[in-house]
Amino acid sequence: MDQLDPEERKQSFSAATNPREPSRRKFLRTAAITAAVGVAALAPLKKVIAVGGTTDMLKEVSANLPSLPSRNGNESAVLRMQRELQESLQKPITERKWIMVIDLRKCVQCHACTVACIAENRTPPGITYRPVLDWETGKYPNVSRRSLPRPCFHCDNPPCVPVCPVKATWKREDGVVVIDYDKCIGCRYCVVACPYGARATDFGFDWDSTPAGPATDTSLMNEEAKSLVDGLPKIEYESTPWYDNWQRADLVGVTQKCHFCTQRIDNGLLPACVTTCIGVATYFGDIRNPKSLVSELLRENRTIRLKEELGTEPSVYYIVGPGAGGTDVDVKGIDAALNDYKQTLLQRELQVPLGVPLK
Amino acid sequence: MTKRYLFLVILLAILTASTSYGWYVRAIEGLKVTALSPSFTSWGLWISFYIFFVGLSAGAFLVSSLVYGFNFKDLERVGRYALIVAILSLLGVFLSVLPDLGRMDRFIYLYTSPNFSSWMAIEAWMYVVYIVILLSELYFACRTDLVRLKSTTTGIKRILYRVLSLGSSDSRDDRQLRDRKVVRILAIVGIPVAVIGVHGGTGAIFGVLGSRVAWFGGYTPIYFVLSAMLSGSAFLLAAYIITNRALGIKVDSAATDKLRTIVLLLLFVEWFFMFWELIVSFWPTAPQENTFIASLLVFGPYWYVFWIDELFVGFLIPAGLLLHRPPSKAPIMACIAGLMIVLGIVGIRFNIVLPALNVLPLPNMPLDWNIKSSPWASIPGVSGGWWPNIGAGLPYFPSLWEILVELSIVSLLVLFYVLLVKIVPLEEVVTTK
Repeated sequence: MDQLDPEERKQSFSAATNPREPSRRKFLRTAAITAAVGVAALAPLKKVIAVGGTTDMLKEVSANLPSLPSRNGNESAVLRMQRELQESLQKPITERKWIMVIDLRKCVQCHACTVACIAENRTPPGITYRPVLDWETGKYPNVSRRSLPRPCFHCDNPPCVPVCPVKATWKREDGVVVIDYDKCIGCRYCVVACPYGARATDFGFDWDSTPAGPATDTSLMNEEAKSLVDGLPKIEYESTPWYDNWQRADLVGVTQKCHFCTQRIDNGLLPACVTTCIGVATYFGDIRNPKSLVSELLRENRTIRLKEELGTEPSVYYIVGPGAGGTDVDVKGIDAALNDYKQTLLQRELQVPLGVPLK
Repeated sequence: MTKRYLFLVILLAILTASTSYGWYVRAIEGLKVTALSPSFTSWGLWISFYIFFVGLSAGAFLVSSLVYGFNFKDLERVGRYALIVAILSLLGVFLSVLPDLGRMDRFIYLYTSPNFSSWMAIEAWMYVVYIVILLSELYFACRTDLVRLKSTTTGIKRILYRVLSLGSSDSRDDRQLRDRKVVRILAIVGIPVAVIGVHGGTGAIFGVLGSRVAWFGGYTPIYFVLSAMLSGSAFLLAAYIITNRALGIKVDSAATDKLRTIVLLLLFVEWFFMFWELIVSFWPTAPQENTFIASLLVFGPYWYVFWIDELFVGFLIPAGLLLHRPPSKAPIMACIAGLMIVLGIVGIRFNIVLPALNVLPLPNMPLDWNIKSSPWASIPGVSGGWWPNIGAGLPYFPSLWEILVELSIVSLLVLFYVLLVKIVPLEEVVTTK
């Protein structure tokens, strides 16, 4: 099976990215196709490198690929999290609890998660759901940079919830703390009450001049691309399309915050910051699933949560070191990154026979 | 109705109307015209005035309760002023908190879907209970006089008093005694409502937040109530003297001297609290954030609020004036002292809200939009820029529109006061039949 039928490709893509009704059957088919494609594509991969005369480095890497030690087979961390997320969605909402694990040693302060979050949630100026705090420590010449990505911590005892005078914010059964934008009166008591500064109020900055982004401009896309884009959730949860000023103005004056990309996770996709993290430093998953990657990470590593003394019980953990077993997550990091790289190569390889002639 | 009175009313009306432009700008442009920031300094001038007005209202009411609840004969002449001030201040409470809401149109949600685990919702309801008590107390305190005025006046005034007396026409003495009993009950029931519900509760909005060490704790509501009583009694001292002199009514020196004693006592207790708050916060064993906030208060971007407004204007000068000569001997001086204390309390309110919000929740957070675009950011001393290495020290200084809105509220309340003292019978009306 050197080539895939275009129709089949489209189906497998939309099943992976647009599972509005994630079903196990669909998922298994996708996995089967991916695996089949993966095996089949390895041979032409070597061919294209040889033919195309790409750098020696690439050759070296690709030669090393199959012999990499891997605890999770050939599945990258992101794909695994995505699969586990879709598995957890099969359970009733009360039986899952979303948490995030951030490996501080792997964060390179690229701020890609911040940018991805802004792009995904279309936050206005003045509101950043997930800033990366970074600072310098030490004294010259012994200096280093530290960083701390800060999403909403979705605390189990959220101080922001009981203070809301109008019941506009609450903790969902799956652990996500959400705000009803149609109820919020904009008193900003919750903004003041949050010990982590995770909430912000939309003051309406630069609203009218915000240009419509390319992601929603479907006029230049062909039919296939249009259908794919239309299938994707592209608006914030429980809200109206952002590009419609009149309707979007409903968000001006109310408080907003990170909601683990509820519009994505409810539809089987990982939060934008997780898929974007270039170093795979951000993990997301269901802590009630003991086999999930996040549960594994929490078991095997030393983690902290911020301001534990307040008893807020945050749902976001920071990995600061290896656990007692000595398992260092960095091994998994390199492993996962290389696996991701391999996946990318495979995907690129898949497209080659369709477009560019090999000889 | 003298020319001077008309002139005052017109002046206040023009002032209110012109400053109301701030409301227009706020309504059209939204919160971005404020100097607040979306995620750090969330509350500012408006919330400071909100708690100031709550305090003024509760304080004035407590003075009226001394009269009506506990028969403080000396203060009897001040009773109705106290109720009028309490009612108007409560109007100031609603007006000050309204523009601060991101969605003013959803104000009603506080009453249609309240969440009573939030002190803000409890307060919204408390204020309603409280204003019912205030209005009915004022009505029963003046009822007989309103009835008498209805029979002695003519024309528009007669219609006005007919409306105000709510159809009552009985001015016999036994009925008046019954009214006094009702007023007495309302005054006593009102005390826990004012102290615990209205003002202690407003303190609890701040005091329950474990995330803000400067506010957290039982001290906050107590301190709120204490400074409320001070602002209420000091304002009444000034308002009583000014109003009576302007209306040509004899100033009751027993009442003013009694008020002076209360004001001085509260003033020293207030600063006793302030003293220990600062000493404890600056002690090396205090939590770092407490020390930081106290240093923001004393040496930070708002140093002038503490040193000039709170200490000199609000404490040392008026204390000196009041100790120097009693109001019966120097009424104008006492009046100035009272107003200065009230100004000092405004500063205290500002310094409760602002320094605590000028601390970043987590270190090294990226500052956001408003802070960088604040028009005051370049003014040294105001922006806090001259005070090095105090941490974030986010400079909040109210924007022109915030100031205009608050000015319009204050001038509207003064206008209403000026109108009300002409309408409500401040002294017992004696008819000769």
